[in-house]
Amino acid sequence: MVSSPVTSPSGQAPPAERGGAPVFGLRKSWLDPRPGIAMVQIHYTWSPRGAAPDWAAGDEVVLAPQAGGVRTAVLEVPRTVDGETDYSLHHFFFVVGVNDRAASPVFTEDIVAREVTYEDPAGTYTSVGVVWSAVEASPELGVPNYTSAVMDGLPFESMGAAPEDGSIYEFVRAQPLPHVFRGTVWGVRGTSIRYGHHLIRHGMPDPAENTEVWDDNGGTGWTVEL
Amino acid sequence: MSWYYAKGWTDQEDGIEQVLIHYACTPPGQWPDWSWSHDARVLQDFGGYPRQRLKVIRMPRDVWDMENGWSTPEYRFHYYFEVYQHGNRWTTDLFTEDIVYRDLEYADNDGWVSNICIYWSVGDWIAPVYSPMEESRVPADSEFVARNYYSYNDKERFHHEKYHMLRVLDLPHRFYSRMWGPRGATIVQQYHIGRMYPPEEKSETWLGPNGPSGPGGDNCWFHHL
Repeated sequence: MVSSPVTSPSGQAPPAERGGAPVFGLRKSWLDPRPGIAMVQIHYTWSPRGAAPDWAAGDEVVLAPQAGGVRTAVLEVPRTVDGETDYSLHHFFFVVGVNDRAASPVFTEDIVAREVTYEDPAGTYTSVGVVWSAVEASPELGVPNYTSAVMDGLPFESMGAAPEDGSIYEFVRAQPLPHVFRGTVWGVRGTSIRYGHHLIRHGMPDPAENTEVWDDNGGTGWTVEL
Repeated sequence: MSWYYAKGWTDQEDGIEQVLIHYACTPPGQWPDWSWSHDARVLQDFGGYPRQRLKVIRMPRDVWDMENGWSTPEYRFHYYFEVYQHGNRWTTDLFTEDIVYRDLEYADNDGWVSNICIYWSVGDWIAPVYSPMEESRVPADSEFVARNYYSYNDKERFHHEKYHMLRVLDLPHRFYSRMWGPRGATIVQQYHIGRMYPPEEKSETWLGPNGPSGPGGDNCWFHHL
């Protein structure tokens, strides 16, 4: 199964344009209103804001049963639709009981984006990522997503994964302090997003000074309202 | 429509802060250009000791083959993990799997079935897929093809029309659908069959080799890919 190795012995990132995955994970949950429900599916699609759903282009996933009659699934939805970060997400549930089946009404929600920032007053870091998830009823239901932040004055950005290291140190330190990194998080309007920072110092003249730190504010993270 | 494939990771050492899976799909015999495009997802941390992490990946039903100008339902899935540990990161080897499909036929000899799906999953029931089956003689452009069922507002009309559409077809009715997975893997599978018309005969069940049952569990067929 193993083919060509891409392991980087020095701990460097793989030789790739990092990520670029234009989706994020969004959990949807269902609570069985009565016993005897065999399966629940969620059908979903998206459209520019205000446009009607095209179900022929939709997708579906079976919700996984959890304790207490709860079922959940993670939808992969785009970060942009027609180049816009805000759009409409449509979904409905298809419920199969012992001897019946029914579809719920269609729910349409606004997906919106918000910018979060990290200020680095001393210029300690060369790159910053944002790990984020919608605030769920319990932390185990969180769906981690990643956004590479863009530093003011630098044009680099990658949406889905940590930035590639390299000679970025020279570019970063040439910028005036404080360094401000801006990342984007997405979710359903009216919900909260919890996020933390991935703080990266790479490309230092002395490689021993390279480091990566995951700062989640002591486990609680930070939140932003959408 | 997609299918779903769970990829897990077990921490073998302490100090792992985050694990990502990087992946790409290519036509058979081809390799990804990681510098051009690929997907990356953060694995969900399920805790435990050793710590378990998992990501269910949404997989395509076909991949566009640019060299030949067609889409192919069999393709290659390439992936590696990126591990953040003790303030550094490292990557695993690259793994490549051949994704293959298996077409399934259900022969309804007495015309009882009006709606049928396959319920299947790669390996175990961790990421099940529910795929509508269709009788091959039903016109592909009919508004009553199985894939339109879920978003069709008037379900009773759909049941009525589909019943009459099938009734005039000679028996047996042969329903088809497709499953995917990595070569060498096992797919678990059941049918969900229903007779949704006439109303007084409405009935449905999940079906495995041992007869009717609930979805999932041991009463299922195993397909080795």
